[in-house]
Formats: sequence, structure tokens, C-alpha cells
Amino acid sequence: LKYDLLIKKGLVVDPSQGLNQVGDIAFADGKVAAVGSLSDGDAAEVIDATGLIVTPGLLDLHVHVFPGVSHFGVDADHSNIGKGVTTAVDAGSAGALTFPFFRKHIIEPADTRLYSLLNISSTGMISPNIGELEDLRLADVEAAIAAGRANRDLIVGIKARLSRSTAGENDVAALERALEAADALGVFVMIHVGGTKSPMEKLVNMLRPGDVVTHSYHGNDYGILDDAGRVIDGIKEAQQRGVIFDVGHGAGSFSFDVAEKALSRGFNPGNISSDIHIYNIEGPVFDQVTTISKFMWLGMSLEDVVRLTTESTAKIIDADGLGTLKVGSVGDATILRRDEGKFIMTDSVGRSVTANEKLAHVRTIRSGRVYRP
Amino acid sequence: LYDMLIRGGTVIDPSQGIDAVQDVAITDGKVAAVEASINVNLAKEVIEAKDMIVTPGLIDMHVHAYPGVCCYGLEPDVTNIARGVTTAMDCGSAGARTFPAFRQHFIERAETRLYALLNISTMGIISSKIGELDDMRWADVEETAEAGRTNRDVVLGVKVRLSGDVVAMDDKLDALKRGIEAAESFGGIVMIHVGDKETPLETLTTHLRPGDVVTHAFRQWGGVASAHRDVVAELREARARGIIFDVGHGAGSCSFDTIETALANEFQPDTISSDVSTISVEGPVFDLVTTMSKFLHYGMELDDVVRCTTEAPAQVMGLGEDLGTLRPGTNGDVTVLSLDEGEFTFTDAEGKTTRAGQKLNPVSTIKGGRLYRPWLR
Repeated sequence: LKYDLLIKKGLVVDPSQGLNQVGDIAFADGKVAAVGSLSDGDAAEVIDATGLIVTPGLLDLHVHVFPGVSHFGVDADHSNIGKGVTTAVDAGSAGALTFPFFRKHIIEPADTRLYSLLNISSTGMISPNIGELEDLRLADVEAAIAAGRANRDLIVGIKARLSRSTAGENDVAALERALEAADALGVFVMIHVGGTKSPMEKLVNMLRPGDVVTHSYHGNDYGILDDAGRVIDGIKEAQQRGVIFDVGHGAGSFSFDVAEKALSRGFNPGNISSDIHIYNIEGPVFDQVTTISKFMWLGMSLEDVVRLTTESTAKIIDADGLGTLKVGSVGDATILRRDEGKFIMTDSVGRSVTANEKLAHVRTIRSGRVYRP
Repeated sequence: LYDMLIRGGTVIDPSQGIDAVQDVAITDGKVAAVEASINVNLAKEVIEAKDMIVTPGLIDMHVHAYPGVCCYGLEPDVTNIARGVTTAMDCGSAGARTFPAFRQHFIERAETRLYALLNISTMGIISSKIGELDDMRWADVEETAEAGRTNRDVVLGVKVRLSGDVVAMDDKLDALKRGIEAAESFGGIVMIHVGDKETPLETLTTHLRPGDVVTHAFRQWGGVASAHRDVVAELREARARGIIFDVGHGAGSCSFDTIETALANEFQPDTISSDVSTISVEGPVFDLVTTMSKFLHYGMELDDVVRCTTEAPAQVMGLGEDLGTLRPGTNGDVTVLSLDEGEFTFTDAEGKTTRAGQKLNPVSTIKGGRLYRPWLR
């Protein structure tokens, strides 16, 4: 048989190819083998996706999956591949000193394709009570570079959490060190903002094109909006010069009000991620599919939200062959259903909205195989 | 029919006062009999131990077995069961915050029987450069007590590292008090790691309770004695009160000069442990049997050295009913050792070397009645 798996008659939404039409997708040898109108007889397994949406395997740029060492951590597969996310990037749960264990015991055994942003703090995120950058000696550039070099296959960037609760007064100094380590490794920096000592504009000005701001639509001090609800000029300029503004919903970092105002002024996210962790997996985040559904409620098209969790994310982490269903690329796909009804969705500051449609995860295909835990 | 018979070795089991050629039979994972002669036809598997020493499975009361999170951590089986140690206690590599992954990925999976002391610092020992008690907010009594209660089956107490590189001078007693408070809440022991010139050991032992442990007690300074200081009366009183003086050799915590003074003062260790870690496994520590051999070389009786790694640590850990003994009905953990003769060079943590004529080496290890055979797994 030509194909291991054939997904028939789904609405294929693949922004990387401009696809948004009903069609068939076949997989062979772990890769996408064909897209178009294909014959059942050529495949070992056929899935009928009539009425369903088929996308490239979803990517989540911001998760926490180091349970037992990082207090934020949730089980990697349950929260990702089990919910339609084939590739997830842990955003700084581990630092240089704790990465070896993370790699061996979490990343390597996981069914989800995991990458990591190394925390510039060499301990990573251990305690909710004590910030990992309060003591700047932990922001060890040399240790981060050494760990990054030794694990360049998995470490795609450097994370710096710059809120007062994590960095105290050290936001600028910590970011300088993160940038130094990232420069040496040739990777991007993701900064976590909200409640920082410095205005966001000042921190964002330090970033390079390709660097990422997560929690962009937070409702705390020093956000993207001015007092009149307009996007601050310096923030807009940063986006124009290639700094990526990511969602990173989280338990305290996404406000519908902020997002409504920003989107109404054309300030769309450059990426949608969930920041799924132990304090939000039972709500308000639940999963990445719920997070992208919130942006549909905000008025974005299905195609746009899919792009921001497939093609865009793959480009940020420079992962060739992911986030696309081009023939020959990695055989990851997600099957979704667009449900209609009344769905209550809540942001991180307690505002609930009622949406009349919501995406639901149906099935995950990783490397050409249906994920059946 | 016995499952296993270990035949013809010199059995040294201080818990029963045995030091004689005996056979040891094991059935259903437990010691079934220790007798002068047991019929080989009664056993499914026979291990010949002629000219060997047969002891209860050795216990190393001070190891670091959390590699990848703790900077000192080593793979538990390579350094323990493969080297004759059937039971090991990790001493504070993990704190309350990092314990769950340690439990799941190491304690529950290791072939070695692993127990742990929780570090009073909730992050445990991660960095070799920044002490885990540098910022005393990490010394969280409530979180430690909670983790201890939740994991009481494997957590035996609390570790407090009190040397100057780990905690500020002014915070030492506070850290120790927090360790004791946390340990008391779940009925665990406290082990203190000592070692700096400014803190005489007797100023710390007064705060300990009977059953609490001082590790690194035979270090160059800050221990029970030194080349220039005899064992003081306060430390003898502490011992009389039930404070345990443990070796914890490690990369920086065992001095031949101190051993000589202490043994001349008739102050032997209560327990012998290795503190084997990333910075000592390739020397000078290597393993527990090498550490035992050093004390043998400086004049301790073999029976005493074996007691310090079997019955004594089992009692300190509260496991004397099942471990560290060959009493029939207890866990079938047995270590077969050879006492090799030749010329052996031993090095202490200060770089001093000595030539010995004997050395213990592990030959085979039986845990729960099964011969440890990693090559057949």
C-alpha cells in the first residue's frame, strides 16, 4: 500500500500553503505523502473527517511540562498531544542545572515533540514563593551557553521572566544576560512581561527581531496600552521591526478587554500560545484549542488562528517541516471540530464571554500515526 | 526448598553477633536460615562464597542520587547496588519542591533500595556555587513537613547543610531549628552536614535530639577531632545522649589525621557512609567498601566496620527490623565481599595518601533474595 494513513474529506486548513478547502491527506513513512483527492484503497487506515477540520499538527510555544521539579509543571502528553498539540515548547521550567534531568526523564520519553526555552536562571522555575531571578547570580550566562550548546537539538531559545515577583528589581539586568546567552547560541529570547519594574516599552526596545514577548495581552501594570486604551507607539514599532507579540494566556496574563482594544486597533498577535500549567489547566486555559477559540470570538478568522499556532510558531522556533502539511513535511496533523452552541469562555482576570462557536479536539496524528495512548 | 543458598563464606552479622563460617539460605525474598551447614540439595540456586565475607546487604547512609537536578547526583544503581550497597539514603539532594520527580524517576525505579532525607531548603542541592540556604526563605518548615508526611514511606528525615559555603554564619542556628521543627512534625531524624573552622562541632550538637546525625564528623576541621585537637567531653556527652557521628567521606570531608586522633581517643564512628558524588566517585571516595577499608586500615575491627554499614545505619534510619541484619524473616539483602590482600593506596579528602595491605571489594549483591545481575536485565 502506498499510504499508512489517509484522512478523507476534511476541511484542510493549512495557511502555509494557503489551503482552506475540503480534501484528503495521506501519510507514509511518518511524513505527509499526498494532499488532494486520494483513493481509499491505497491506505492501510482511513479516517473519515467529513464535517471536520484538518490542520497541521498544532504547536504551542508556551507550556510548562516539568512536573515534580517545577511547581508549574503538568504532564507533557496529557496537556499537549492528548489535546491536539503535537509540538510544544516548554518556556523556562528548566535552567542550565536542571535541564539534564528534564531532557532525559521528560523530553526524551514524551510522545509530544518537545522543545525547550532554557531559563536564564540556572535553577529554572522551582518555587512559587521565591523568584528565580531575585538573586542575579542565578542568571549565569556561561552555564546557559554551555547547556544550550550541549542541547542545541532541543533548546530553541532563552526565557527570562521579568515580573517583579520573579526578577525583583532585576528586569533589565536579567534581560541583558538572556540576550547575551541567546546571541552566543544564535537563538531567540522570550520575555515574560506584566508587573515589571520597567515599562514594557523599555524592555521591548532591548529585543531583536525574532525575539518574543509573551503575555502580550495581560491586564497588569505596564501593558501594551496607554491610559486611553491605545497601543503604545513603541510597542507598535517593535512589532513592525519584527519583535513577536505572543499570547501566553496563563492564569494571570490574558485580558479580553486588552485584547479587544488592541485587536480593534490592528494590533494582532504574532503567535497564540496557552501557557498551560498546573494553575490554569482546570480553567481558565484548559488547553490550546480553547485559547485559539477565544481569538475567534475576538473576531479573527479560523485560518488566522490556525496560522498563529502552526506556520507562525514553526517559523519562530525555526523548525523546518513542522506547522505545515506540505508533501514531504513531518506527518503531524490535528483534527478539530467547529462546534456551534453557547460556550462560556473566561480570561485571566475573571471576565467571561459567551461565544457561539468553539473548536474542539477530535484526534491527533503524530509522525503519520494516529495517537492512541 | 530454599530459593538461594550462599555457601561457605565467613558470615559477619553484628546484629546477631555472628562472625563464623556459615551458610545463608533465602526463600521468598527473605532470610530463611543462617546455619553452620545447609544441604545444597535443598537450594534451587547456590552461590559459592568460600573465602569470602558474607554480610547483611550494606547500607550507605549518605549518597546523592538525583543526577540532572542535583549537581552532585550519580546514577543510584551504578554507585550503590552494583558496588555492594543494597540500601542507600540520599541526603538532601531534593527538597520539598523537587522531591516528587526524584521519587517518581529515581526512588521508585532504582534497583537499589532508596530512602531520602529532605533538604530543609525546598529546592534541595542544585548549584555547587550558590548555597541552598543562602536565602533563608528556601528553608520552609511547612512545605518540608508536608512533603515529609506525604512521602513518609521513603522520607526518613531532614537534611540541613550547615557549612559556611551553604548558609550564612548568622543563619546557622535558625536553619537547624527549622530542620528540627520540620522533622518533628513527621517523626523523622535530622542530619546536619558540618564543616567550617569557625564553628566547633559541640556548639551544634547541643541542639540535636537523640537519634539525630552529624555527617562529615571525621573531617579535617569542624569535626569530632583534628590532628591538633582531641575529642572533647561535650562530644562524648552528645554520643552518650544518642547523637550519631557519621563519616560521610565525600570530596572534602574525611581526614586520615582526624581518624587517627579519634580512634586513638577511642571515638569510633557510629556509622560509615561514603557521601559518594560527582566530585568524589572517581576518587578519593570511589564507593562505600573503599570507605570501609580506610577505617579497617586505621585499626577498626572488621566486625565494627560491618556494623557501621549494616546494623547501625539500619537502626538510625528506623529500619532495623528488616534491614542490616541476617535474622531469619528479614529482607533477603546480602552482600558478598572479598578482603583482598596486596598493596593499596588510599587517599583522604585532603589529598593525603596511605598504603594499606588489605581492601574490601564487592563480589556479588543479593537484594530481596535475588542476585543483582544487571547484565541479564
